[in-house]
Parts: sequence; C-alpha cells; structure tokens
Amino acid sequence: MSNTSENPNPSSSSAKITLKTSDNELFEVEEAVAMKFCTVKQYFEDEKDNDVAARGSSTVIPLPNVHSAVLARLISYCKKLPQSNAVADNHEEEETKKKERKQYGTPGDLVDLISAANYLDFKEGLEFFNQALADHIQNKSVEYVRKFFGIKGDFEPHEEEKYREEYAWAFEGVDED
Amino acid sequence: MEMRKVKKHLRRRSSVISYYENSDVHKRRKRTATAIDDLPIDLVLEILHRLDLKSATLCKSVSKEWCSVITHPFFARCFVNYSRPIVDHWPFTLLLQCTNQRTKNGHLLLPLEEEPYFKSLPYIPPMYQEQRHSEFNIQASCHDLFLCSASAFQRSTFFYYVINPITRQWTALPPLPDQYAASVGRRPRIGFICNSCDILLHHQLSFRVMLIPEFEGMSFKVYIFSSDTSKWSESLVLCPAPQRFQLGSGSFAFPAVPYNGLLFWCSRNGSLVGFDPYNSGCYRFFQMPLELDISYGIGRLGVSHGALRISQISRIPYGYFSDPVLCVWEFKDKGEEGGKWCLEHQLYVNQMVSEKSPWLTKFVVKRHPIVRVLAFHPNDRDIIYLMIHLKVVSCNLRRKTLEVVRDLPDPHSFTDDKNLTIAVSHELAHLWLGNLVTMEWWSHLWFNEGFATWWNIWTLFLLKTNDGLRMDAPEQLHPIEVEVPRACSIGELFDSISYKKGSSYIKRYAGKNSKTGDLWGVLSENSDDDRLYLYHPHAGTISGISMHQHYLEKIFTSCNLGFIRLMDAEKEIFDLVYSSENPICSLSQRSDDVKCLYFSEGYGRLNIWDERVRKCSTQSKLHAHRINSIDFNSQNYNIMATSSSDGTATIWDLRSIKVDQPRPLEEVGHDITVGWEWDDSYIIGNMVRGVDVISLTQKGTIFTLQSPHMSAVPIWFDAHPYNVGMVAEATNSGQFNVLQTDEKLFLLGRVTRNVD
Repeated sequence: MSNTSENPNPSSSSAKITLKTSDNELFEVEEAVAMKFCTVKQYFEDEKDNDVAARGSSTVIPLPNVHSAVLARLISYCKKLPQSNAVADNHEEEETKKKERKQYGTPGDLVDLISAANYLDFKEGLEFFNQALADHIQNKSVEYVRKFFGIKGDFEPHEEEKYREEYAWAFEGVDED
Repeated sequence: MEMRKVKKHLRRRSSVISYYENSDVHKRRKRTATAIDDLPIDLVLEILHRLDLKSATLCKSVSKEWCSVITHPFFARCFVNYSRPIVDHWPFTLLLQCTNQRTKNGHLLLPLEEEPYFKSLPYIPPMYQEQRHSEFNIQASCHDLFLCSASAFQRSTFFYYVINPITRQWTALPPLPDQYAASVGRRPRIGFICNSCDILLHHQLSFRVMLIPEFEGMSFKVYIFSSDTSKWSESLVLCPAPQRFQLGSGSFAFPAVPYNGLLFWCSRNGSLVGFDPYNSGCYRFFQMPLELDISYGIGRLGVSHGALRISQISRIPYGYFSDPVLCVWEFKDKGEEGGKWCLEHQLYVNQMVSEKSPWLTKFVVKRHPIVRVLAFHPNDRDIIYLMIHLKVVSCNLRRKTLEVVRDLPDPHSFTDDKNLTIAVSHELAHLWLGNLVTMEWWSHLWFNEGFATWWNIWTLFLLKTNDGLRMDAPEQLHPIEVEVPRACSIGELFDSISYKKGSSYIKRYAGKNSKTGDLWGVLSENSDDDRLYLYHPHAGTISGISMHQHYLEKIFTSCNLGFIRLMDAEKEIFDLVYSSENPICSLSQRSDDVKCLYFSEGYGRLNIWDERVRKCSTQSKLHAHRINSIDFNSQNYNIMATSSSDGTATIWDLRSIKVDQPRPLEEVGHDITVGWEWDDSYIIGNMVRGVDVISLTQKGTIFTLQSPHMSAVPIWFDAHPYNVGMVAEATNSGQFNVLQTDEKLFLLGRVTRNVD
C-alpha cells in the first residue's frame, strides 16, 4: 500500500524496530539486532501477518518484562556479539573469551541480563551470560558462592560438616577470595 | 462442567520434578540483596552445569535447594551433554603403580604431575581397611574409573571394587563364586570396560569385568561380571585364533585394553584378540604386525588418539649391549588399509636427544640402557612415555627428543630396575563422566529411568488407547484397570536393570468414559499407595496427551472439539492454551525443546505452538486428511514422522518445511499410527493384528510382527531401545505383548476390564 512507498528504507536490513521497555522508554534498534530476540521476532512476524500496512519503523513492540537499563546492555552486547559461541579450539581462545565474559559486571547485573535474555529468548546471549556467571563461581568456596548470590545456607551445621567430609576432595584448594 | 479457574499467567518454574516434590522447597527463602532465587530453576541449572566437577560438587553444600538440583539425574544429563571447552584435550594423568617384588607390599602410586586429587591414593574402602597386610592393586582402568583388588595376606581370593579416585566413591563387586575362584590364579587376565561415555545413548550406565583364568587350547572359560545384573557369570569362548593362541601370563598379564567397546588382549606372539563382554559370543582377532619380532616380547598395547597401538623395544644387532630400537605400530581400522597394522615409527633410542637434560642424551648413547614403554599419550600421537633408568621420560617420536617427566622417588627401596614392576600405568581422564558413577546418582538414574519408562509407556498407552477404543466401540463404557503383575518381567526380557529397579511393582489405572467425556489418570509413583487421579479437562473426547520427558508436571491434552489445555500436574490447574473450530487430532513434543508443542488441527494441518509467546508460530498443511500421529526421530529431532488417514506415513525435515508447499523427505503408504524406532532408518506402524516394521532405506515394510496370540488391533507400541526387531505392544483387548523377529511372543500382562 501507500505506506510502503513512503518508507525511506525499503530494504529490510536497515529497517528499524522500536522496542518499548517496562519503564516506557523507547529503543529504536536495527531489525537485524532485534531479530536476534526470538520473542520480538515472533511478535514482529505475527504483526506483519495480521496487518500488512504495519511495517518497518511504525511497529512498537512492548517488552513489559525488560527494564531499559538491561535492554541497553543487551543491545550493546548484540552489536559486538562474539564471532562464534562455539567451543573454543585452544587454550588462548578460551582465555580471551573468559576475559571478555569477566567484563559483564556484578552477579546482580548478570542475573538481570539472564532473565531478560531468557524472556527475549535470545539464545547466544543467554549462553554467554550463563557462562559468565558460571565463571564467577568456578572453584570458589561455599561461603563465597553464598555471598555472591545472596543465598543463606540452610543446612544444619552437622549436615554441612557431613558434606564437607564426604566431598573433601571438592573443598581442597579452592581460590581464596 | 467442572473446571477450575485457570491462572492467566503461568510462570515458568521448575524443570526438575523431584525438586518440587520436596515440599520444603515451596517455601521460598527470604530474599537478600540480588538473589539468584529470582531466576527460574531451569536457568540456575543452566548455570550450574557449566561448572567443573569440583565446583559443582562443592555447590551442593550451598543450600538445600541447590543440593537437590545438583543431585538430580537431570542435572547429570545436562552436565554430560554440555560440551566443555577443549574436549579434544581431555586432561589425563599417567599413574604408575610400583610394587617392590621382594616385599610385595611397597605400593607406590605416582601421578605424573602434582595432582591434588590423588593425595588419598591408594584409597582402600573402609570395608577392606581392617584386613591388615592386604595387598592393594589397581587392576585396570577405563575412563576415569579404576578396577581395584584387595586381598588378604597370603590368600588367593581377591575382592574387586570399582572406584572413582577423584570422588572416592566406590562400589564393591560380589566375591567370585567359589567354583570360579578355584580356577582363577593370583594374577588372572583381567579386563574392565564401562560405557559411561555413551550414557546418553544407552540411557544407563554399566560396566563389565572380564576374567580369563586359562587361555589355552581351542576353547576356554571366561567369567564376566555385569553391573546390570550384579552377578558373575561364566561363558565358554571358542578360540578365535587360527593357530594356537597363548595369552601372556605373569608380569605380562597386562589388563585388557578397551577399544571400540571390546576388550583386547595381546598374545605372546603379538596377535590380538578382542572380546565383547556385553555379548560373550562376539570377538575380533587381529594378526600381529608383520615386522614384529616375537623374541623380544611385546612392549605395550594401548590406545592413542582413538587408535590401537603396539610398541616394541628390540635390539639390533642381537646382543645385550646393543642399541635399543623402538617400534610403534598403529592399527588402521578404517579406510583403504582397513584392518591392518602399520609401522608408524622405528627409531634408535640412542639417537634421541634431550634438550633440557644433556646427561640423558649422553646416557642413552653410552650406557645402552634398559628402556621400557610405559604408555601412549592418549591424545597426542607423537608422544610415548618410556622408563629409562628409574625415570619417566616422555619421548616425542617425530622430533626424536626425550624429556624427563619425573623421577621415581626413593630409589633405595627399589634397589634396581629389575625389582621394580610397573604393574599398571593408567591414563586417567579427569572428566565428570566418571562421576556419573557416583553411586548416589547411579541409583537415582536407575530409579528414574525405570520410572520414566513406565511413565512414557503410560502416556503412550493412554494416548493410543483412546484412539483404539474409539475405533472399536465408541459407545461403550470402558473404565479399565491395567494390572502389570510383575513389572520386573519386562526388565528381564529387556535385560536392563533400570527397568527393574524403578518399577518393582507398579499398578496403575486408567479410565475412559465416552459418555460423560474423558477421564484420565495421573498416577502417583508411590507404589505402596496406588492412587488414581481423575481429571475432567475437556468436554469432548481426548485425542492426545503429551508430556515432556524432562518436565513431567506439565501435561498437554487436546480434544476433538478443538481445545488444547496445559495441565500443571502439581497445582492441578488446566490452562486453556489454544482453541480452534477444528478438531485437534494429535499432539507431540520434541524432547530437545520443552517450549514448543506440535499438534495437528483439522484436515492435515500441523501447528507449532510456542509457550513463550503463547501463540502458534507456524502452520503448514502436510496431509490431505487428519494426522493421526506425530513422532520425532530420537537422534535428529528435526526429522519428524507423521501418519494420516489419507493412507500415508511421511517423513519431514522441520528445517525445510515451507508453509505453503511442504515437501516430504520420504513417503510410505501406511495408515493408523507410526513412530520412530531404533535409528534413522526404521519406523514402525500398526495394522490389523500385527506391527509393521518399515524401513526407510528400502521404502516399505520389511517385516510384520504377528502372532496368533494377538487378538486385536495393537494400539500402542514401544520398541526396545537398541535391539532392532523387538517391539512391545498393547492391544485394546488388554494384552501386553513383546514381539521379536524370530516370532517369539511373550505375554507380559493382561488388562482386566471392569464395567463400572
């Protein structure tokens, strides 16, 4: 219809999609980026099916479960998405990836990012942030893990003692911090 | 119509059933700061299974919630499934066990690197510790499990146990029966193999221990311990070798080398024989390498980079003070040279150099040392471990270099090379896989497999029963009682411990009443207390029930009036998720995707409903008539089989289905229902008084399992997981049958009908 001809960017790759977060902020993102979020993609395609006129920049997709701060980080992550999430071939590659994952901040941030990525069904992101969180607790003491996640140990002292005895090998040589 | 009000928004919660069975966990703890509590438990699982073995075990003691998550077998599955970085370079440790031959008890275990996990080796389980002077030996290893033996001083009977040296978990084998023990000497030829690597394939863990007391003549006995039956058994093996075949004994009695599922022993002349301990009639025989000179004995048999290798140290020219030559052969199992030994390396030990220790270069040139091959590097084909002058030396075969890896400590207790026997050198992979044999998980797994199997059968049974009954007698009242007299009979037939353990006695009920709508039961797994739950989710006839194997609390039901409801079995809530004017005829879920439901609607349309957006994402018209069944290939979930009343069974590749013009991969004529079985090439379907096995490669029915005992149309079937040709089926007259290609039929159970 006439709408199509008015669209300044008819090519779909540079088309923008507007996302609305839980705090009512609007994000205009490239379609290629937005299509990484399967939930958005699904919504977008349904809209397209239902109403041919509603295309391109005119669509506003509400994301009631995602806060603007989190979405901003997710989008920035999307833009510099690592080349591949495939299993690293060698040690060095794995190390660089580890460093990259380290930059994504505190566990609180990561938990937010993970739930948002889960809601958006953003597979690469979910994988990445999960691994980042896992890196944080790798080879750490129980106390550290609890503090890190804000979990209270609910074992009785004797129960915990039993565990420590039974799995003594796992408690040996953990990182100090 | 009685139906509870449905919660609008179902929050995705647990993926782990037992986790919610534990009622304590329902009470959420108070939040502090940023709690990981906010994440649904399946996401927590996602994070935890990325840890390594040590950290995951440690995390068990973080909280009860975490403990229950990590202990659950589902976690073990995820953990094994998750491809860890650098899988090609599994860490390993070479572990040497040294015995002082004079005193017999100076055991030394020498890991090649400083390895904190091995501080406690030799680990002797408490039950043997009190027997002082006991002789401890590592007999064999496979993956990261050891088969160890302990024997009381001066006694010939051994106690065997399997141990994970990292977790220190172990299981004891029952003693050899007396009649066997008498013929087993102090150093029997022993083999140990476990399939922990293939756990996902075989759905259960098992190991075998194989003892060969005598190996001479044309036939001999072997004793095999099976972890599935927890019993030793004896079988007679006909000697596969064309000529007289003699296994080494004494210090040559190395443990068998597990390779390709067989246990390989090396004879004195260098030929190999491999037995399949899972199937005692099965063996392979390899001739010795052509160039091998048997007068020097065999150095070492091993596996490097997935290939069998033999090494030999010989001296040319003959004579004691001559230069040792190291030869390495590799067995080429595939390709053009298939089934042949190839000489990979032949080099003079005294021409090798050591960059870091110049004395070693001189030593090998001047002193004509005694060189032994200890082991092959499991990943690097160029590296072999040697023992030279009480030192473990790694040798790079390509670059012809030697490096000292470590000294054997305390040479005074072992006065010279000759008194030191390196009895075993093990490559030990530090993998979580071994920890699957943590006994705790093991039993869980067994139990759960048993349970899951029954659960699946049950679901299928219900699903197909409805169909069958509808075809047969639509107006009659059929509350049925299904009684399986002794569930273990199925277990025995299928020779699988997991069936037995999980379902020692299961009694379940199902009900259908086509006048007032359908009733169906969700069964409690508590076998002492049979409970029947009746739900009434639909006004019309129930056409399909689907439950994901990992998310048992969520059950989709569909009815011929066009409604799909999602039931939360725990909360007993039925949520209407889809409605249509057309009847829904079948439901299915891919086992790799819990969020999507595949169902057929109306005349041949397939819909994919996505739980996340709560909408149908894809619709395509696959058949001309209604689709009776949807099933996914167990190995490639993108391949789907559908059967339709238009008389065809069709295979689709989901990746390439086009909405308007779907094009099938394969099409065979068959109606009623089909399902995938065994592997890519078979599907099975039912017909009047028989079960068809249809091969896709041959494009048609290859055989039909039939029996005079089968009195009616089989409406439910399930195949033996890996025994091609064995099918269990149930008919609507209430029989369970097991069918085999050799036309044997077993009546497993009978359904008794009550008219209520």
